[in-house]
Amino acid sequence: MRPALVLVLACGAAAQAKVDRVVILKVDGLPDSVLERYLDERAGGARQGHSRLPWIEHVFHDNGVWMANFYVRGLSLSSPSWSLLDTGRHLEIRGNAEYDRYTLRVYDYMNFFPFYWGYARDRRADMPGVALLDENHIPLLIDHFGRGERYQSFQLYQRGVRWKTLEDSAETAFKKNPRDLLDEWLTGFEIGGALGQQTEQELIRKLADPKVRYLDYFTGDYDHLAHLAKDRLAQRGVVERLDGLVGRIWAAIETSPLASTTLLVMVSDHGMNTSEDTYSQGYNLIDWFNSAEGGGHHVLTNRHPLTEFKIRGLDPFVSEVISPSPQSFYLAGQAREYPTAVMDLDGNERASISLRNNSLNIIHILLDQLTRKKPAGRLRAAEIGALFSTLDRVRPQWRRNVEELSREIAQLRTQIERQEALVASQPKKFSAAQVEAGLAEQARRDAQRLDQMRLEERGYADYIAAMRRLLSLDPADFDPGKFNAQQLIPQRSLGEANSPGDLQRYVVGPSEEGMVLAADGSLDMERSFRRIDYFAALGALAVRNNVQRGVSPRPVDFIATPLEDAVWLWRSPERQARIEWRTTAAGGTELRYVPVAHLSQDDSGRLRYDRVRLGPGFPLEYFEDTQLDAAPQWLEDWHTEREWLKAVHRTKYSNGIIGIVEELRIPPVSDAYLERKRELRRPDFIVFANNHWNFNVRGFNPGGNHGSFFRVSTHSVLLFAGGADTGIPRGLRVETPYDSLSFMPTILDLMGKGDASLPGEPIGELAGGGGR
Amino acid sequence: MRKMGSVLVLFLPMIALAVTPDFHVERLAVPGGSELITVFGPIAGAQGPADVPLLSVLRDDLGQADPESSRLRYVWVLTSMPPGLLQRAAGSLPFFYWRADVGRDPDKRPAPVIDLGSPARPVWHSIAGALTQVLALDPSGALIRTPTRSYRNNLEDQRRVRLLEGLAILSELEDDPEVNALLSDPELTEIETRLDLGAQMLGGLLTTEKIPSAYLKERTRAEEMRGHNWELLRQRAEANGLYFEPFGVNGSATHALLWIAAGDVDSPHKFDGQFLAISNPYQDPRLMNWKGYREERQGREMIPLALYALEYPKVPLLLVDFRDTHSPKRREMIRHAVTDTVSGVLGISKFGNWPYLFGSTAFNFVRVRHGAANNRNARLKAYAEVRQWLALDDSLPPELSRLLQQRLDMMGVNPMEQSVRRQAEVARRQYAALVRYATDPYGLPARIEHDRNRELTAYRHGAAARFGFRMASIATLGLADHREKESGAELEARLDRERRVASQTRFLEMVARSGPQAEIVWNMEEVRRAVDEIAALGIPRRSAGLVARIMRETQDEETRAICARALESLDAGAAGGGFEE
Repeated sequence: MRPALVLVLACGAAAQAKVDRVVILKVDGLPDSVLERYLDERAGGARQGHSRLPWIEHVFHDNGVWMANFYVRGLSLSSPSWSLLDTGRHLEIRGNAEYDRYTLRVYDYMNFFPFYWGYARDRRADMPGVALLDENHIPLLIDHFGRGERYQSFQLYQRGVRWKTLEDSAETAFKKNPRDLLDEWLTGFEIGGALGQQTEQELIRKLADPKVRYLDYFTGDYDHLAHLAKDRLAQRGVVERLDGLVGRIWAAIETSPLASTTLLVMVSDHGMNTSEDTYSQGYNLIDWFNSAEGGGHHVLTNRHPLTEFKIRGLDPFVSEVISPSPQSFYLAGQAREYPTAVMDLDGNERASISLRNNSLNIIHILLDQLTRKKPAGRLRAAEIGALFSTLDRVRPQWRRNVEELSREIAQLRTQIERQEALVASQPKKFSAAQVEAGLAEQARRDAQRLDQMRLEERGYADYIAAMRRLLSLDPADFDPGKFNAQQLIPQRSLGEANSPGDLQRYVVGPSEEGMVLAADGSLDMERSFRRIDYFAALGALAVRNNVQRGVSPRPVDFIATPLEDAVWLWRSPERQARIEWRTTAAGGTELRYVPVAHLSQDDSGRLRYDRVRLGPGFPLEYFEDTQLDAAPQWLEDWHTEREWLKAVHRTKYSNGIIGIVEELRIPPVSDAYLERKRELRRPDFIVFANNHWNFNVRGFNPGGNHGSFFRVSTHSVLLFAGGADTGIPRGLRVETPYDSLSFMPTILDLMGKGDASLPGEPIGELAGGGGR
Repeated sequence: MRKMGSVLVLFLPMIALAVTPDFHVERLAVPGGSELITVFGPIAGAQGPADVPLLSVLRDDLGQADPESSRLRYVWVLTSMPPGLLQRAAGSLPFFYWRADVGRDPDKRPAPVIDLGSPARPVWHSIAGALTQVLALDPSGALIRTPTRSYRNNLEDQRRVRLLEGLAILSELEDDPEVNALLSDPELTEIETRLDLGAQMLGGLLTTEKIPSAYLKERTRAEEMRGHNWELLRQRAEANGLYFEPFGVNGSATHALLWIAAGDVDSPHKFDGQFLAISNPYQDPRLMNWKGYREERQGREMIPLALYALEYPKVPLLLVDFRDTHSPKRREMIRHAVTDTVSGVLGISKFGNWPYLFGSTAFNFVRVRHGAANNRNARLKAYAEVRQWLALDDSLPPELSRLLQQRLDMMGVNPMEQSVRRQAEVARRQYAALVRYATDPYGLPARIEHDRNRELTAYRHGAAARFGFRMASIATLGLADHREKESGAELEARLDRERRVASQTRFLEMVARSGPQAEIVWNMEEVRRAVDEIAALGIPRRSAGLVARIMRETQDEETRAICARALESLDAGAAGGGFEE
């Protein structure tokens, strides 16, 4: 057939294609490779010749579209990954937990208990991630549908709680014939299973209602199991259950009123690095940061280490846990007031880490020396001199930030007053019609927002007050006897972000010999402080118990740090890279990979590095990867993200170059306060684990992990199937690579709800429907 | 971990040893149309021929090689025996926690550990025993209560250990091609699951249809435990400067040894013993003057510290402490003594004493939360597994293997148990006795005939009628034992038909349950064959609904036609009053 004719026919078909309803199966952590493996596996016995996943084969493989190269963009981690899929926008949420540097407020996106509790008390309307997205005016996919048009299951980006579903699922769990109950008791109850069954029943019932246009079903079963067990049969069992669910939902769609215009989609947020013959090995970074070698930090995380062995671990509301260091060099016994390292370890193949500002450490140590040890004579003068020279160096920038924040807080006060008036104007009780119209939920949302604003105001005001006290110190009338360090150093705060230079010469305490005078009578800043180069120290970590073939004794693969217009990747002093970005005239982004060595930063902030020849062993290993679809020299030139994705997606680190920029770049926004909060949540650096290593400390995840850019962790599932009139091709396998940002525009385009402001490219192979 | 510079020098690659023992299977025809399938394998350190009979399974296939009319019946674990009279007497002595390996006759006919045709029977026996204990024996005072409780606990533990030893052997056979040729996957799954559940109080009550899902759940649980404890122990070893060496059969690590480098012993290393349950090895005088087992690896002298079972909930279970041989046994004895004192001597029961129930539950919860090994069943399982692992794994250095077996032998606290050192001899003699029993027309063949008669009764009569027959038999001391009138070939023919109908009905139930459009999931030739066969054998009324449902949901025309024909035959049968109930 001639191409022109094909195009005409395709356009004709597209013009008639119509999607009225979408049903999305959201599967947490399912890698495409696992799905394809079991799809290709043939069953035996009475199922001879059939796939292990017969329904997925029938619905998506034979009669739908299989996106063979769909990748998560950014870290392969649930909170950010689902946010990309559910919003179609660039990352706003960059970890499963994030911390505000100034106040140490924890954004704990995965903890649903406080949300349910708050919802029951009318103080919460949405999961924490949704509340943050709302604040940033980023709508979810479900927001494109009216309240009566959507059915949302229980998930991370959830609006509201359907108590009835929970109630009914408890009934589903126990209202069975005694025989089945006994069997379940003997083999172990599956609590989550009842909620899944109930959700499935409700979803199938909703399919009969033609008004409902959006339905989703979320399952975390595979992710949960694969973290714990690498066993092939166990994992296959979960995927086979998923296959049965696809069959039941597809059969229900086929008999529903909108069968011919219903689109069924199966999508996963990220993959999973799981291997049948290798356990994933954990390395405890909290212990290391607690230790003297790691700097003796008091470490703040969002969950208890080894939760299962602690009574406190039963607390479902916990979002802040401080692991005190027994080897702190200057903050012994002050863990509550001065945690100096915060970590988000979830996903486990990476750790996002922020440390207290290096200069703040120096100031704290010097104040401590002056106020507690009370040195005399030249040493006293030298310490005071060092204190003020350090303070003077950072004062302009810190003062500017404090004053800007102060102005933003003043504006926030105005907003709070408006919000208070709004909340006060809400009725105390809502009629059934108002509840149905969503007014009650909106009232909760307003109350939730007010709570958050008050919390922010309080936190930032405390920080501003402490910083103003510190910044107002004047050498002319400074008398150490009048102060103590705790009055001047903001508590529970990391202060300003660290530069790469800070992290290379990070001060963790006074030196062993104490404060040392230089020949000129000033304080010898090198000899007076104990310093750590965190890149070198983390890169040198190694273990003695490495009992699996093919697993490196070194847990750390590389470290990523944001620079002003680039991300710096550190693998060794000689093997580093700058991932640089620029914005094109058309508003697109171009990236390039620049191999460098010995990057360092002096006190003035100037970066120095050697531009070196690219070879094997550099971060992301594109040079030596036989799957790279480009010549190695191509890497050092500017290319669009699309070109990069095409070239690198099959490599070991897949789209890591795009992902790391998505993760660490903060694009400007019009609202300065929102932009500041975004920057305050950004970590100082991210440590990526070597293959089959993880940083989980909450428990043990020997089955598998995700979070890195390894292809096995980023390669996700995206499958489509549609009724006769949807125009969805049948039996099509799309090899073109796409990433998470393409998901939402594709769905909206197919439904004729196209949104031109979305940054992602819709999947061309499915184009039809209308919209853009 | 801390001294980075020296780590790579210290790094000692100890790759998990994953051995696959050589098994082979023999089949022995039993007169009357059954076969005895016996698994043979090597037992480490055994005298005589290399292959030792480990486990036998009786398959009653009615003389036909058709899986639809065959049933698995008895399982014999040949490496151990039920206790003898003297052992039973010793088992009733309160606070007697030593093995009394006397008074057993390995040449005596072996007793099966489980009857797969009637897995619920031990549950009823156990319930009856417990009721007798609580209602009749406990109120009679401490003198009666204490020995009877000791006896029952020891006997029950011994029964469980034998079941779990069988399970440990079978779990190593899963991927053995020779075994798979004679025992299909579903059969192995059934045996493993029944053995595992048989060791639980009500486990025998699980319905047959749930066996695959029960197997998968248990497999997943075991894998999770192994992985969890593998990681926990590796990390604890790392944090404490020790060396971790996992072991296992068929590629899965079930046990691990912790070692210390002899040169590190006198260093002032910090030690945190949580989860390890051993004392600080650094600067321990026993290790500084160590005369025991040691190995040289990469030029370093290594001293074994402890052996752990990895398949235990939450924490690795300490099985052998090389410095303190009696420590694990002492802990076990204390746990038993507490139980015997509270429930035996004092007669305090959780279920009659709410404060005690609450207090002990809270105490145990806190202890388990902090990693205490409080699960008696799981300990028994770990104990049974390690015995089998050591017996079957010849990859360990013989001296180390011998030492471990010796230590484990000391650990026995049940007077009814048998020493692991006699396993090979016991197995050979037990197998010889079993072969004699199987070839004796009045032995196993007669028992099979009796079982078949009972099976036919089960097919023909409802639960209430069967209960009545059983009561009548008990009341008349067996004189009024109900028997079906068929015997010999006629019995086999009737049973063959019933088994086929039951098998096909089970299959069609599975098809119907699996969801809509059976043709997408199932090989429809198999479905049509099942419907055809069930119609040909006289479709029972209970199957009609199934056939109708499959017909309604399939879009396969040929299957619909066959289902329609089958249902018509039911209508015709009903009209003539000729269908089977």
